[in-house]
Amino acid sequence: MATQTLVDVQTTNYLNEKTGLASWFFTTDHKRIGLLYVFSITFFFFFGGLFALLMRIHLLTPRGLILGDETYNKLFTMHGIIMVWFFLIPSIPNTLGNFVLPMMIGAKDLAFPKLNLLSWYIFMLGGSVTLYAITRGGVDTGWTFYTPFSTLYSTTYVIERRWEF
Amino acid sequence: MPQFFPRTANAIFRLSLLGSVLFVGLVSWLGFLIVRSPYEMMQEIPRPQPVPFSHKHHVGGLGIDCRYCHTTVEDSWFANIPPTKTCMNCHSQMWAVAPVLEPVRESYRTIVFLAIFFYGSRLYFHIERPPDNAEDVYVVAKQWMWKAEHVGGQREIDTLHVPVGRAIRLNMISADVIHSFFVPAFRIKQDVLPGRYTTIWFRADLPGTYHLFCAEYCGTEHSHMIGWIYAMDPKDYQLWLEQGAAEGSLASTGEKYFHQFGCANCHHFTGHGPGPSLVGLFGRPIQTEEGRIVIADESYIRNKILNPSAKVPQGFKATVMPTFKGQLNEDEITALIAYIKAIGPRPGTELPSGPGEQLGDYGGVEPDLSEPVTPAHKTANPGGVQ
Repeated sequence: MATQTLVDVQTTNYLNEKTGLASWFFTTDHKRIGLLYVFSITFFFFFGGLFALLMRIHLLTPRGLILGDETYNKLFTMHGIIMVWFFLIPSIPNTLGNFVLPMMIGAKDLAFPKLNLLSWYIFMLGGSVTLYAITRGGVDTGWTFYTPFSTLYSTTYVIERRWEF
Repeated sequence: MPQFFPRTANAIFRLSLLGSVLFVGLVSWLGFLIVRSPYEMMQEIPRPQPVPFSHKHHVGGLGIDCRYCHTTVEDSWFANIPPTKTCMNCHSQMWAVAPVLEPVRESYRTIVFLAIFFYGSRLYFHIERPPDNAEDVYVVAKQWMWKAEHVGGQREIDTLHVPVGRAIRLNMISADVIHSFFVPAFRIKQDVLPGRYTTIWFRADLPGTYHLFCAEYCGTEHSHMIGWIYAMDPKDYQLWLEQGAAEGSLASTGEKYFHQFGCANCHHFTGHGPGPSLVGLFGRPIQTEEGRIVIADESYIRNKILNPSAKVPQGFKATVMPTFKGQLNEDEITALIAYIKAIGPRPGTELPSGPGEQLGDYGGVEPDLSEPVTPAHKTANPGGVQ
């Protein structure tokens, strides 16, 4: 006689436990914050890719097609800044680190979940300031910000950005 | 006071001193014997080898001569252990992927990496040390041009004329931001920094025109900071040199500055002035106040002009000389250095013993400063380079 075991299928998970925009923006769940990072770096990746695309179009002809020297320099600077600071660096540590790492070590969540959420807001603030800088003339120093070019000789303003994870 | 120790105590002390020396010697000798004993050395005890080499197979089976591996056996006391190369002579072909031979292959790889390392370091020293007879050219980079100045005083912008077959040593500095001197055809690339000399050398083998690029992003017109290197036949180069140099040689321009900026007021050639004599300074080791020894090269002289209180030679006061920071541009400093180079012999040659003797290629010592020093080639060839 076969015994039938009832499997308790869990129907609620981190995605449908709570719904609504507020539940995302005030979440302290490490998986949800991981997803927030996925969406935001995808957003920044789009901008970085757009700048690269403009540069490649400009380079279709030897003399350059659509951009001036300064605009070109600003574009590759913004491309570098966004791709390095707002896509590459956050991609592995922030998304996978948030989503997977607590499960791998068997922790319920990160040690300071609210601080974790705050990090995302500061990250987004930094990204917004960077994107805002484009509308205020942009930066032409290259993403490495080599001195003394970036400090003394650049024709643009360099916005000093600091953020902590 | 009664005698505390008997007279024999002296002898006993001497004996015990001698005895302790003997004792220490004996103990060390015994220790040496024990450490080197067959028991401690585990003589005759087979130990696991990284590679299970079989003499029976190699000598008995394959019939390889003992001397193929043990090459020193005929002129040495002991049979050497063969290097990995000996194994790889055959085992790079046969049993080339056998797991049992992996330690041999790993050892061989290490040797290959070391070979690459030594090849690389040889190249590095080749690049870092220009030949002694290299011709100096001074390069000042600025947004967005390359300015070059030859020893003869010929100036050019965004071009550089060099003779074929001669080593050219570039002494480079930037007037503003970081640039990079890049000539792909010569395989040279060197960052050009503000405030510090960097050098690179090359030798063009074939006459021709070669691209010069700036390889460090330096601002709006970075991509237009392009020049040409004209490698010319030595005869054509000589012709070109004679067309240029309207203002006289670099050293004579430097001499003008030497008086104009008041250097000559203190740096008398006799050595009796407030400042040290600069005759024969270039390339000489300088003993500083802090006891360090520095070579008086271009960087040293430049630093002394701009920051006189650093690395003061022994016997001179740091505070006497004013700084020339902000008063001289890079071209003027370059000319001054060329002049200081010119009033001394080349490195490695002997200093003249007294005043009035010929110094290098460039005229004599003039203890009387009312008469400026005249470089010899200028007087010898008045029409040529003017």
